[in-house]
Amino acid sequence: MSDSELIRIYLETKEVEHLRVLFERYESQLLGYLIRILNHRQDAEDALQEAFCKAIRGLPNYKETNQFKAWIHRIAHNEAMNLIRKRGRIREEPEILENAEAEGSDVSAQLIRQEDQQLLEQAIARLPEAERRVVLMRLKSDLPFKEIAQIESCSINTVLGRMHNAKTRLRAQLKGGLA
Amino acid sequence: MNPEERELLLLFWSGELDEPENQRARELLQRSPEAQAYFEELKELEAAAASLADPPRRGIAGRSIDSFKVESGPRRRISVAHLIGIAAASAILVLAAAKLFVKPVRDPVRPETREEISVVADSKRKTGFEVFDVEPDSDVRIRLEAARERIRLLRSRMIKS
Repeated sequence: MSDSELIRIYLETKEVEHLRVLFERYESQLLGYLIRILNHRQDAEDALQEAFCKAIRGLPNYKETNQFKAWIHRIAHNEAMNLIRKRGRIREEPEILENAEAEGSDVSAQLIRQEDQQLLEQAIARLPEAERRVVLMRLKSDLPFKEIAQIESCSINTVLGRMHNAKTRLRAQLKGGLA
Repeated sequence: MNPEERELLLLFWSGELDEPENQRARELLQRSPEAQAYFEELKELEAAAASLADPPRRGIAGRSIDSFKVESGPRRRISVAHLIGIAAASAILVLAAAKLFVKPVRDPVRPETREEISVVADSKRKTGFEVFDVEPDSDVRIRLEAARERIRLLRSRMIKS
């Protein structure tokens, strides 16, 4: 069932199960984005919960058909920005998310892969904040640049410039390439 | 590669171009090794980022729904039909109240029965002015004012409730 269908049925029936299905589709992705932006798991969870509450309140006025993903992302992003403004600065220690894969036949290959992931996580965490947001929204949340420009309230050229700069920085940090 | 070409490649990689621009990007990739290298790096980065972990689900979606329910409580939705019903009931109440308090008062000035008419006509003929040519009864005015006041009160109570 598509996002739009779930929203329509929820608004008609008020059965929260449809809402739960809808939110659970994006929960991990949004939480990952918020953790990487806020560098703090608890803050990210709080921001996500507040974002979901705001989305519930806003759903009766939701009109963007087939763009729920960008819409919920925008709400979560705004929550993260509010939190950053409130606490003044981003906490220093980046939160590194680790893959839960523990089992597998080739242990050494998995270790190399995990090491690569950690390197990339650290490289992304070191990017300037605005560039990090663009990289995460494009690469992790799979949002198009046009949507990112709307979320960031800037021109698409600015977003493309940030993506280009981020790519250059990441390449410099990960020189030698990923395995 | 100039900034415009870079932007073209970024949008091509993101799948956000229309067909003529897609064609432009493909031609650029065919003729420029630099563009090819840039595009390969983008694809490499995309593949690497795809392997980055997402945190396990924490059930925040469910918590949000539950906390929202607690926050807002059960909300009664008033439909248009309900609103029309309430308005109609209010109007009926106001009218009923008005009917209770404003009884039709027979105008003492205006003659109604045949006898009265003949008396008035007779007095006019004899005196040149009407016998009942007096100011409206002040008691009627007081009762009207009281009725209006009660309607005002009733209306304000209904709005409050």
